[in-house]
Amino acid sequence: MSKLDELLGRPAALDPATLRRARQALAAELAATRGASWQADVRRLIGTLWAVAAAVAAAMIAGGQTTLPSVLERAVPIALVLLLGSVGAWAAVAPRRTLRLSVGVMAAALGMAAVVWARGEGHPSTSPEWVCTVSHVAIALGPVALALWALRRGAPHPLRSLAAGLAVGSLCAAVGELACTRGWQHVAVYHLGAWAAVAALTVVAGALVKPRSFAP
Amino acid sequence: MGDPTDEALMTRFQAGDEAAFDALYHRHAGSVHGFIAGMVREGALADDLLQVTFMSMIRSVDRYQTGAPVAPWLYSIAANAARDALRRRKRGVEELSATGQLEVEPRVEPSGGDPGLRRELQTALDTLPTQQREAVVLHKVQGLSFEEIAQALGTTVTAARIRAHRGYQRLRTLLAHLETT
Repeated sequence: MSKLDELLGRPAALDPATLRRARQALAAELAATRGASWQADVRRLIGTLWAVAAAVAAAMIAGGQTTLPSVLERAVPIALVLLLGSVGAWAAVAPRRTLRLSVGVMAAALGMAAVVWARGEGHPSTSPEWVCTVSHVAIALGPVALALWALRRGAPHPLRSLAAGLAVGSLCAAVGELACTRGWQHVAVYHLGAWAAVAALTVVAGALVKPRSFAP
Repeated sequence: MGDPTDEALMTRFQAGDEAAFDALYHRHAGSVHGFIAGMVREGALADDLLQVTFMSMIRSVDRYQTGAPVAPWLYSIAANAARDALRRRKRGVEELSATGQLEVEPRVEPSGGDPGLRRELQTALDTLPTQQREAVVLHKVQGLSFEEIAQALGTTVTAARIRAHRGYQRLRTLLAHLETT
């Protein structure tokens, strides 16, 4: 055995007093109610995405910005992006597996391609184009906060934050399908722009938020 | 009847058995602390991170996949906590550097063997990239297999082997004089 191996094989001993102190400090945490689960976090996040989309649709119908038949006509693309967003939410919050996170990111990419592809030439509108971007991001802020809350329960990782941000961003695309009648170029720039902005916001905020746990 | 396995204890802990947590704590705290100390080179910080590691274990017991090896999962938590602490310390050091009020030799608390040699080893370890240091400490100090290291660091067995090998080679170069004395 070389001297280096000998040296490496002799780890620093842990002082028994440190061991006791650390155990005592953990007592309160052990006594606290447990019961939170990542599955509940996933359900909460997915439920929120669908509920917010439904609430926005109801508000738009009530406000006369769209009609129920028009929403039903677009039900398939709306449901598709929310479904892909749900996959992304699960991938982001579930215990980390790189492959699973990649699935979440790919689901979002698929959703992005689908909303642009599903939109035809569209009709012109009098409102400024950026209104879509700003309103979509504003609607997504609450779900972003919820996603960050769920992310805090695991070790921080940029890919997890990205998957969560893209999942929440799918809400932007769903809202964009509700009333906007512009063409695919507008969707590609202003709707996907909002989606990307929400994802970027989640990645940045995810790096700043102090985690409650470092478990993978 | 022999001692229960880590995995059996973890299953009991998931069901709310505090005694199972105690058993796991006393079984692994020393080695987890050794790993963290090798990573952060600062006794007080290593003590804090030991607490953070087990705190994370309690808070995220639902994230443990029943039946999976416990030790790599624990080391994975410890590695994440150590990386986070190193990142924060680096940021803090850079901020202080900008003001010119810097004091930076990390404290090392040598124990066992020649304190001078241990200090030299710690300094050499500190020069390794984090990923290599993690692999070297887990393999050479904690005695984990490459399969376990791969699980702990969320990488492949080949990548874990390469990281440990490169780190070890670098250490041998840095500490070549030890072999000749």
